[in-house]
Amino acid sequence: MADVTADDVTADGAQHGADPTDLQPVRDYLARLDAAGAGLPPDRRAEVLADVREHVRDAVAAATAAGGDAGVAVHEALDRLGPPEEIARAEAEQSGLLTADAATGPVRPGAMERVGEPMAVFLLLLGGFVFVVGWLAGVALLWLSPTWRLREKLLGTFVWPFGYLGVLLVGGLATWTESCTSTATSAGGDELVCTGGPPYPDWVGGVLAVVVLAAPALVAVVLWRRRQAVREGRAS
Amino acid sequence: MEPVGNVATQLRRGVLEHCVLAVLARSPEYAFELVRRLSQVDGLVTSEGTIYPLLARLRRDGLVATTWEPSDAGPPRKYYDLTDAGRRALDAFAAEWTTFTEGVDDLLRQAGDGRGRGARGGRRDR
Repeated sequence: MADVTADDVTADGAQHGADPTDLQPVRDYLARLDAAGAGLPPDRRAEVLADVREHVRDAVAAATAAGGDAGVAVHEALDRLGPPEEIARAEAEQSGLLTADAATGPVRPGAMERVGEPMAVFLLLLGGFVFVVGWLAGVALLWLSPTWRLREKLLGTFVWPFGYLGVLLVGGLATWTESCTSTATSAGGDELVCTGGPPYPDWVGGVLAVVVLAAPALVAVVLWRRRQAVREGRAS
Repeated sequence: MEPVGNVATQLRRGVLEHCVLAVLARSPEYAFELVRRLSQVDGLVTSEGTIYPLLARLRRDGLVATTWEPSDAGPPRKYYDLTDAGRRALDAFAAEWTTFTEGVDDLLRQAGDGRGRGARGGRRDR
């Protein structure tokens, strides 16, 4: 690594005319930290990066104020900060994205958190249309996820089975029992006469339809909000 | 990993956040000074960078508060202070810690061979 001094850096208006975070070793370190934190929520990653940047600035300022060399101070500060991967891991832990006992390795919320959960919500709603098994896959992903609690898992499974496919089928059943014929009226037009059908008045059918249609969407919202709360560390 | 290293890690984990609170109870601190003060405690901090996520979480939990303080040279710096909730958490921890460590020390002393702090013919662990 080339020797670095504060003079190598473009002045940013700071009193000593150099921002140590512009130095190459710091840039490399921050780039590693950014990469290691790829799975973190963007605001978390940004704050950790900002904190580390400020830390390096302060470390160098303290060292140079005591007569030390900026380049040496930079390397020492980066050493003491520790591996960027560990910092990203610590952030994931603190945000509730990992348990403390997770195996060491690059920090990313698992495929389950990042991809599986949105997939679960989507499949629960519409997976029934994917050869029916799509909904079953959604249920599997729902139950496998550590993010959702039992109550949310039960909601997601039973409201409604087979998602909107189920809604269609039940709706279809209701109308299938009805038979409508078109008869000529004495006024010369055509009138649709329906017999059979569900044993409740039409307005009840209307309310039921709204409830039945809205429920899966509402459950999806509940699942999504729970997921966000966990990811932001607002819930355990 | 050696068992000893693992024990130290587990102990550290439980205690570090309360040590942050303890440092801030003495006086509010800039982030950097706070981190350095913690590093001075033998064995408490392995990598300084991992303290920042902890600080962010403590802030989310309402135990510490941050403000931006203008600094003479350069951009404003983050300044940490303890909140009332943080003070309560620290008090609760201090009480638990005292009871807990007294009990453990007692056991160690009874195990003899100079184990435990303040044991007769005591052996220091470093």
